[in-house]
Amino acid sequence: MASAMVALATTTLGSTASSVTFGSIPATYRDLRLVVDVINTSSSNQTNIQLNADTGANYYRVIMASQAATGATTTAASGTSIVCMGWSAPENTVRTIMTADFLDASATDKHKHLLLRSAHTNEVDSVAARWASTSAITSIKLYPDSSTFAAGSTFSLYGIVSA
Amino acid sequence: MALTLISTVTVGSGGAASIDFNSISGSFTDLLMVYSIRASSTNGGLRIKVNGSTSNLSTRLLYGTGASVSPATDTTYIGTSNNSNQTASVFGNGNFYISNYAGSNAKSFTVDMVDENNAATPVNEWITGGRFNSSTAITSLSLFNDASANFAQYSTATLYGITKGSSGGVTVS
Repeated sequence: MASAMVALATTTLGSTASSVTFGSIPATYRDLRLVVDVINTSSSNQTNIQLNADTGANYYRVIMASQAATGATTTAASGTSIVCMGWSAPENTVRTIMTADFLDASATDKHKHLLLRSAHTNEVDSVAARWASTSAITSIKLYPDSSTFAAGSTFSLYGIVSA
Repeated sequence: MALTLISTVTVGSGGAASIDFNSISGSFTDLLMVYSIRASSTNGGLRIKVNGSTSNLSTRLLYGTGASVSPATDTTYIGTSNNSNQTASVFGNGNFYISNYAGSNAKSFTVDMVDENNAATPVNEWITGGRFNSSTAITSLSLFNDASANFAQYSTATLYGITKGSSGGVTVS
């Protein structure tokens, strides 16, 4: 029986990196799941996602967060990327885990929706986002606002096959 | 195979004080536990143990009740399952994901869960982030009730191993 979930690519950083990009993603998979376990090398860093090298203002997101200092908060906005981790309490050199589901990633008749969960010791975030493009997702880039991802950070991409 | 079924536990008649996954192999990358639980008491609070202990655990929670949303912090509390006061035959569902569980760094996890009810309240949706602050590999996971009550018959939990890898073609830069 073929697996419905396929490991597509993975990397563990041997040294710091300013970004990580998964490219040449095939249209074989209906959905994608990204699992990230990172540390940023400096404080005050949000982590962002861009798709298909699109740097335009084509991203919309709603964030709900529980943060140590300010409690429960939420916001909706658009921009040139999706803030996926550390929205109100940036990671500040602590380990952060994120799981992100890209729904109907290979579809060419709809915008793309993402559902993300991320957490570190000072914050837990739930993000619902939309990339306003009908293109199939062929690349996913993650990058911190400034500085770099630390060595030892891991990034893994999985494909989910539809029936 | 990226997703491997490790084990399923189903609570039998008489209930169970906990649901335990022991002797977890270190051969996977991450773990995913999916569960459907009802408490045999009016307290549906759900807690977790790692390697048989409640030590070195911390959680940060965000929950909505349908009337309000609130933050919380704890050590082992991860949310609420359905309880005996809520609509019969309804079990709270959730999933627990932990990354790099067998590594030598502190381990982070996320939890999504919900308890549901025919009445407008009480119902709760939880989003939880947590950390097992230990360099020790995780070899067991246990779910137990906040009030030390039993889980009701038909409560279930399934543990999956997630294995990273490459199928070829997708580049990483």
